[in-house]
Amino acid sequence: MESEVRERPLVGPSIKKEGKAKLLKSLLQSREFILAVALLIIIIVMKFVSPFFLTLTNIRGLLVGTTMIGIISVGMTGVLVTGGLDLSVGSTLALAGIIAGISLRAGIPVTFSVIFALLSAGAVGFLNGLFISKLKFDPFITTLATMIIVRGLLLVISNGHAIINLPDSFNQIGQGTFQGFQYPVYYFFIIAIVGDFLFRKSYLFRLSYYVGSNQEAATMCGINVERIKILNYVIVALFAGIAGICMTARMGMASVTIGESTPLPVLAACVIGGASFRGGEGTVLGAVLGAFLLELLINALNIAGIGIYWQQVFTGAILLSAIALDKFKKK
Amino acid sequence: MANGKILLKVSNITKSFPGVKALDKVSLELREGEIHAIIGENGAGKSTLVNILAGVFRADSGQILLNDREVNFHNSAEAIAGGIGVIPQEINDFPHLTIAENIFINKLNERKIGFLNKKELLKQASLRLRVFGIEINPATQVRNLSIGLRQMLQIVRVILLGPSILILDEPTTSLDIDETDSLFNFLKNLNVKGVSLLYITHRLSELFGFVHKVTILRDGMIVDTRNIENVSEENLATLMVGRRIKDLYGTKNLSFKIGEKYFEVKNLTSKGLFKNVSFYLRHGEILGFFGLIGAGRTELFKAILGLYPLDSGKILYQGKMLRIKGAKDAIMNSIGYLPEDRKKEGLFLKMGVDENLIAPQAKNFTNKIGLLASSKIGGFAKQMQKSFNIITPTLKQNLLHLSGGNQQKVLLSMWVGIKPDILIVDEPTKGVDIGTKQMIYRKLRELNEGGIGIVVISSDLPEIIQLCDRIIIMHEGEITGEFLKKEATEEKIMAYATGLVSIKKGEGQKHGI
Repeated sequence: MESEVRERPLVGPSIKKEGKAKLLKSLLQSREFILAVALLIIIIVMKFVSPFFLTLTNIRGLLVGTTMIGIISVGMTGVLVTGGLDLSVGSTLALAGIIAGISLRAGIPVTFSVIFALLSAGAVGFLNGLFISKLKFDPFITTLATMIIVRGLLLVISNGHAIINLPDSFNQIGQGTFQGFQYPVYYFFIIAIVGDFLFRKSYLFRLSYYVGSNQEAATMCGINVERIKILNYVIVALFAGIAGICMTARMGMASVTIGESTPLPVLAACVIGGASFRGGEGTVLGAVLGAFLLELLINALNIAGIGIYWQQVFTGAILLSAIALDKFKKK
Repeated sequence: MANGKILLKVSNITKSFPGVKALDKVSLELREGEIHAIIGENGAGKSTLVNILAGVFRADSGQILLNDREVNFHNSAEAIAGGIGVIPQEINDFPHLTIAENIFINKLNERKIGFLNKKELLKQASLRLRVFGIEINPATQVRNLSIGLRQMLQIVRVILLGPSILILDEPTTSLDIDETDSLFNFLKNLNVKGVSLLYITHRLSELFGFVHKVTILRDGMIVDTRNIENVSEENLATLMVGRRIKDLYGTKNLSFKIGEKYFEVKNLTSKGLFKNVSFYLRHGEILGFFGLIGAGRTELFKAILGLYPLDSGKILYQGKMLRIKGAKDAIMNSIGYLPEDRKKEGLFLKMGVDENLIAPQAKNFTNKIGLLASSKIGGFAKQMQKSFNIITPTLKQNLLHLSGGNQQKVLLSMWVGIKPDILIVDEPTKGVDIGTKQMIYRKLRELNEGGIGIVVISSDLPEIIQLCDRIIIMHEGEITGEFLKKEATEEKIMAYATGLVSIKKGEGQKHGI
């Protein structure tokens, strides 16, 4: 056959040109890069606004303040990537704290109390995953329901009271420090780094992107869609559990009402970090940077003396900018 | 009829996008009462031209004259007000609304008060539909209708706005033969009533007996405009591709011998989908499955793959009983299935070319601890890119940005990549241009002559007849006929596919009427 099939690429010759422009372009296309620059700008500006900003005390506070949202957003990224979402993380977080508290007060050793707490959290995630993948329930409604049910059960179990007087050995999990930073900061960093690596490199976690990008095609390719979805719901619930244990240990008591407002900032962090509710997109690094950005902004506004009521306005505005950026990028 | 006055005159339209010149000094005339086709391969600039005429894009330079007045539409509402109606490629109706609400959607707000008079609406809808020869209850929800009918209703909706020119962008892409026929009758009818049509397509065979003139676009430039009487399909193909397409379908090597039977299906039934289906496949054979929409071909093979339930019957593969429980099982048994709708169930458009290529066998690209080995992936992707001539700036490029033909090549390479013993391809050349078509046929033949059996499910009659060694025809879930290549003609196959004749009923006999 003498005829050669000839075609031209949709995006033409400009690609080949200057390597530098290409690098810059791909950096500007990278959500993580934009977020890192934004963080850097805020830090530099704040350094001049207030001498207190870059003190160790403030940095410690910043890091600890990011841990709870940050840890959960790592797991939430996975759920969003598969095309789902989880509103029940706040209730799961409280559940883990209460289960740990009850176990500890019943004289169960710290290790086992923590394991029970995580198991209970994981169970919520497993149920969410089961409903959503096997029974094809809508993720929003399903997790809204489990959010309400779990919170209700907590009130029933605890009669609405917080569980106080937790043993010191347990409280150390949240209050102990290493090199001047509280332990949860390290848990957060480890989870973020390992999570980001796994979602980029590991076969199992990478499958989440296939599932979220096109569920039907994933099925045709022999990918076990249901299992991948359940896995991600269990992971986000476990991370919510870890966050709950950390909070409980830091406060030295298990609260029933803790985490009621958690799901929204977690979702905001993920979306700012590049995830979308359509699935198939988002990275752990992006979500973690998003969580930092939200915390940093609140911190900066506090230091700059801008009223607390304004903080929500800014948080919302950032969220809108993130979406605007997406639209702009796709043009 | 084709000598009316000039209605639309496009002169020297140029449009560039970053990196490509999509249209280069394109000029075109549409006369009153004319059906004028614009043909071209994927990426030739057809859609860009439509979008400029519809006011979606603005031309960089050039002029559009409508009834001798220069027009410059900013959006499709302005275009329709100016007399140009556009029917986009994909159906965009309102599935949950009734037919009446759909066809009057642009007129609902003409009443002063914001309430709808439902009775009046239905009455008017009935009346209008009858004018267009559509007899159906206008209170039916659109989602319950066939694609073909929805396509027509969409046209009715636009026609009710009274355009003098109707532009149709590849309207037959998702229609079967019957639906295409009735669409053409419908359009001819409109034409007789005085609407001029600009008809965009890359399917050459459908032009004859339908359009008056044809303009050929290639690489953003007009090649020529001709009267349909003065060209043949082969002429058009040559003009469109810019070289002679010789031997589009290829031929089997004469010395090649079809081997032994190695896959066999006996009396397979799945209630409501197909019943009592038996056939076999031999090494080195290309077996065609033809049927109209609803014949159950796709369902049959999806059921064989375990994606639909089976009620009875058995499957033999290399002499052993086989029961596949899903796509994973199929892949493990070296059976590849290329789904018919590449965007819906075949590809991962938000992911890179490389990640798509490994999708059915991603596990084979992991190291000992379950991490994906990027060097392995890169090597494989490069090899596939070369072998299938996939045109992409980089292998990391999102598939979304590739042309339809290139996407189809990625889909084929994905499944050829698993080194199948049986390859099932469902509408393998749907919506791809002729150059890619030839390339796909060549690849299939190459694989086939390597000894694997290939099943081609297709609604494209020339493709089925030219490509396949043996053709099985289905009608309403049953096999009604079987032909060897040398006996097959379009007429015979259609007779079996429409259920007029059937081997089952004893009205014809196997291998020929």
